[in-house]
Amino acid sequence: MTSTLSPPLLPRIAAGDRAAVATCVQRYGGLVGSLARRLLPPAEVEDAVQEVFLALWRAAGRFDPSRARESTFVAVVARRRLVDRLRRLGARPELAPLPAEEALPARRVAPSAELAEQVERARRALAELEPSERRRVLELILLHGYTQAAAAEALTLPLGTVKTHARRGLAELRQKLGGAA
Amino acid sequence: MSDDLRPLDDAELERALAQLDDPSLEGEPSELELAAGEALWGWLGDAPPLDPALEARVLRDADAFFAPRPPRAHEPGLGPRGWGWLVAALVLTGLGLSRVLPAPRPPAPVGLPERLANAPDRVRLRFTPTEAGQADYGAVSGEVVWSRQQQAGFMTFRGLPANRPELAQYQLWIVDPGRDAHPIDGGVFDVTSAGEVVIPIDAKLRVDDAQAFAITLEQPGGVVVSQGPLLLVATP
Repeated sequence: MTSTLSPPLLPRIAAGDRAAVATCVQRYGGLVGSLARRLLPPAEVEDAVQEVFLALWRAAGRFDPSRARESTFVAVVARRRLVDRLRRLGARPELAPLPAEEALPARRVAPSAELAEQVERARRALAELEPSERRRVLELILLHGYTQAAAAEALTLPLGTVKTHARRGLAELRQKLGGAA
Repeated sequence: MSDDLRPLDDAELERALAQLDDPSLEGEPSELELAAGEALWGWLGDAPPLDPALEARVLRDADAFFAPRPPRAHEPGLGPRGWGWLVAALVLTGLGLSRVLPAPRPPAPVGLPERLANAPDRVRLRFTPTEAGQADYGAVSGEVVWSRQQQAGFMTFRGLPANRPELAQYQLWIVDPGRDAHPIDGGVFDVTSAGEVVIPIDAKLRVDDAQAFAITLEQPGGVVVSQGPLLLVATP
């Protein structure tokens, strides 16, 4: 796969380029902080954000731009660390629906044209997920850190139905977004 | 864009879902997890930037993370007063912080006693002077209380000589060999009185598995990497 994006930061960071660190924090800090606020109790958020970026520095050398966009890699590392922290805390995520404008966010100013394109494409893919119940299942699992069992309980759906939604929804997202590197 | 994607079998889907449920399962992200990462940008792509104070903390962490490493214990220039012996001793004995001293609970900084009183993972270790510290610190008694879950703790000392902050400050180091071969900065502190002093721990990085705590005397403001000598250590 080829990429038309600007050169990624993580290989520079792995090579010891300190200037790339600050750019990386500015570019991806918003997503990391926002995800942390959704997944964790408020008292945990700041430490968790710091933990995510330390994990990112350690993982920088493993980033493979032929497999994924850098922004995608960052999101995966962030979600792993934050959900892992959530599990370690033993905390259960709250079933707090997103505000309407954030459930499928309206267009706003994105940090860069490249990210704006990615954000828009992801929004379209999410909006096209049908039925809406499938979108809600993925939202709980991916964005709020629910296990499939917890999502089933929260939505009062049979676990098998949630598993089906999760599998088909992820496969559909992969079909729409998976070749995006 | 994705017409050439191969079909996924049930086992791959199950593995991907298990990974999303339990991210402690490490490894390279699957195509499905990468798709999930892409999707997160759809929900959060227009999030506001980090709070400037938090961004500054992240950058300070990065400074510490990428700071030049000191020579290893087996390398020339670092004698027996370095860190190597402490880490090696801990590894050889297989000791961890699961062993807790039965010492009485000390007074503590405001707020910390309440926070740590019922912490199920709270541990308490006694400081002892090292060989290098015997002459000046042989009469010091002290201990450290630490909670991994809360990432918080404090130390108490009696008889720790007062320092002159304009000349030198005490600095705490936390040894976490599983995380890094080099100790974590636990913060600098001053002692201005001869009585009992209580010092909150200010770990600059997350501590996953503290195996030892050590005190050095450093230049004002502390250092990123200590050359020692260690004066007091607390181990299981």
